[in-house]
Amino acid sequence: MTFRRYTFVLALALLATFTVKAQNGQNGYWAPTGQTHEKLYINSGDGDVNNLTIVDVPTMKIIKKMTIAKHPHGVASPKSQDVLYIASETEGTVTKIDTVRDEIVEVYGGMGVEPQESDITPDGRFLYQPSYAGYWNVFDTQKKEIVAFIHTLGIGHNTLVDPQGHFAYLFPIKGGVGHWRRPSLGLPRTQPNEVTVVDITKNHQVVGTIPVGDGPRPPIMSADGKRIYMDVDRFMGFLVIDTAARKVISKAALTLTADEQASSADGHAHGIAIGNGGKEVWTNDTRHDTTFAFDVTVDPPKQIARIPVGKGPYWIVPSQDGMTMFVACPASDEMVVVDVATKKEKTRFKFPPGDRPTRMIDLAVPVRTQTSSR
Amino acid sequence: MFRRRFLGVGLMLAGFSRRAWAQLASASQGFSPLTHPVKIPLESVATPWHTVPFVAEAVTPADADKPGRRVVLNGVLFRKAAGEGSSALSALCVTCPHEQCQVDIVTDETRLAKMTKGAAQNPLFQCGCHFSVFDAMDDGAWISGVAYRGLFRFRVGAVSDGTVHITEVEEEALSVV
Repeated sequence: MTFRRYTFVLALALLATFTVKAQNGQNGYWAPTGQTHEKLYINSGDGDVNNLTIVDVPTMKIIKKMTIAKHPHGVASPKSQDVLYIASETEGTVTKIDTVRDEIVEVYGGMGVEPQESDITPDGRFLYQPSYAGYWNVFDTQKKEIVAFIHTLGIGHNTLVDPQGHFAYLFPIKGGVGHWRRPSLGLPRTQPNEVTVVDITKNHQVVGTIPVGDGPRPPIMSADGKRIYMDVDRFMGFLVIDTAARKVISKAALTLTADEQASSADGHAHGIAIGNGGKEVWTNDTRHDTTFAFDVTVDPPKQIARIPVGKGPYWIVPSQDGMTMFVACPASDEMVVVDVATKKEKTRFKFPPGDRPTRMIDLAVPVRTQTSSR
Repeated sequence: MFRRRFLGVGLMLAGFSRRAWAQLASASQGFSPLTHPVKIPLESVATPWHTVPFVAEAVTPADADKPGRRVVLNGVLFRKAAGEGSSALSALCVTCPHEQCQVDIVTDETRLAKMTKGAAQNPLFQCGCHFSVFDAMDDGAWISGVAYRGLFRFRVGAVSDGTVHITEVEEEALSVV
C-alpha cells in the first residue's frame, strides 16, 4: 500500500515536471532536457554599451552585462537553448551568443534592412528573420546563408515558429505615415491585416494567411501550438487565433476606465505572454502603465487582474515555470518582476537612464562546459 | 502731397490687413478648443525646463471619423525662456504621434549629447518606446526617429493674474491620441 502510494506520488511529481517543461521557452513551449540554469536576457534598445543584461533568475541577480550590436531587437533561441540569436536593428546584423558561456560566437551581416523580432525552428536550423522593409529572410544556421526570401507586404516585424517546427507564422505590422519614412527596398507597401503562414517543411512556402482585421502586433503561441494570442492595432486587448482553422475565434478586451478609454481610442496592447501552465495570458497597456492578466481557460478570456508596473510597459516574458512575469518598461528604464500567483510585484531592476530595456528572453540554459556545434 | 499720404495710408492698411489675416489664420489653423481651459499657476513654471504635467479634455470635431468622441490628453507645460508672456512657455502633448507611447523631457547633458551626436543646444523630448527625438525649444518639433511629425501642441492662451490658461490643442491630436 505504501509502495503504491509512493509510486502514485512519484508519478504525479513526474507529470507535474512534464507540465512545467511543456510551457517553457520564449514561445511558451520548449526547453532542453537535463540540468539547466535559468537566465533572463534583457536587451537595452537604446544602450550603446552593456546593452545586453543577463540575470540569474533563481537569485534575481545580474550576472553579466555584454555589449552587442546597437539597437538589439529580435531574440530567438532553439529548443537546446544553448545559443541565442539577437538582431541589431541599426546595423542589419544578427549576433550569435553562446548562452552557456555568455560569449559572442559570431556576427552575421546581410540580415536585411532593420531586422526585427525573429524566431527559430526547434532544431535550431532555420532562423526566420524579418526586415522592416517588408520581408523575411530564412537563414540556414548550418550553411550560414539565407536560403529563402518571403515578401509579405507590410512591415516584417514579429515571428512565431510552432513547437513541431512545421509552420512559421509571420506577423507584418500595418504601419502608417511614420513607418514609410523608414528604409524600403522599393518593395510594394500595403497594410496587410493578416498573418502569413509558411510551411517550413515545404521549402519555406507560403501556404496560407489568417485575416485578423487590423495590423498584427506581438503574438505568442500556446504550448500545444493550437492557439495564438495576439495583440492587434486599434484594440486594447488581444485576439485568440485557432491555428488549425486559421481564423480568429475570440477577443479579450481590457477593462478600462472611461478616462483610459478616452485616452487610448486608437491604441493597442503591446507585449503578450502565457503563464500559469497555459491558463493565463498577460498583456501590457503601454499607455496606462499597466499589465493585465486573463484567464484563457474560458471563452472569451476573462480578465482576472490589472497590475500597475513601470512606465510604458512594452514587452513581457514568463519564467520557465510560468509563475513569474518579467515586464520591460523602457519609458522608465525598468524591468518589473511580477508573481503570477499573487499578481503582486516581487522586485524591479533599474537600468541607467536612457538605456530603454525592451525585448527579453528567458532561457533554460544547459549546464555544461562545451558549447554546441550549432 | 495727397498722393504721398494716400500711398502711406494704403501701405499701412495693407500691412495691417496682412498681419490681421495671418493672426486670424493662425488662430483657427488646425486647433480645437479644449472642453475646459487648463489653468496652471505661473509660479510652478518659474524654472526653465521644469515640466508641469496636466490633463486636458476635448471633443473630436464634427468632420472627424468619429465625431463627438471625448478625448483625454496628457500634456506638460514648461518654460523655455525668461519672461512673463505666453511666448516664453510651451505646452505639449506627451503622447508620441508615432505609436502613442509617452515622451519625456531629457535635460541630462550626457544623454543629450548621445541623442544628437553632440549637437544638442537645449533639452529634448524622447519617446520611451521607439526613441524619436523632439525639440523642446522649438515647441516639440521633430528632430529624429520614426515619428512622422513633431509633438502635438497646446495653445497657451493667456497669462493673467499669475495663471497660465491653456485653451486649445492641435486638431490632429484628437484623431491620433
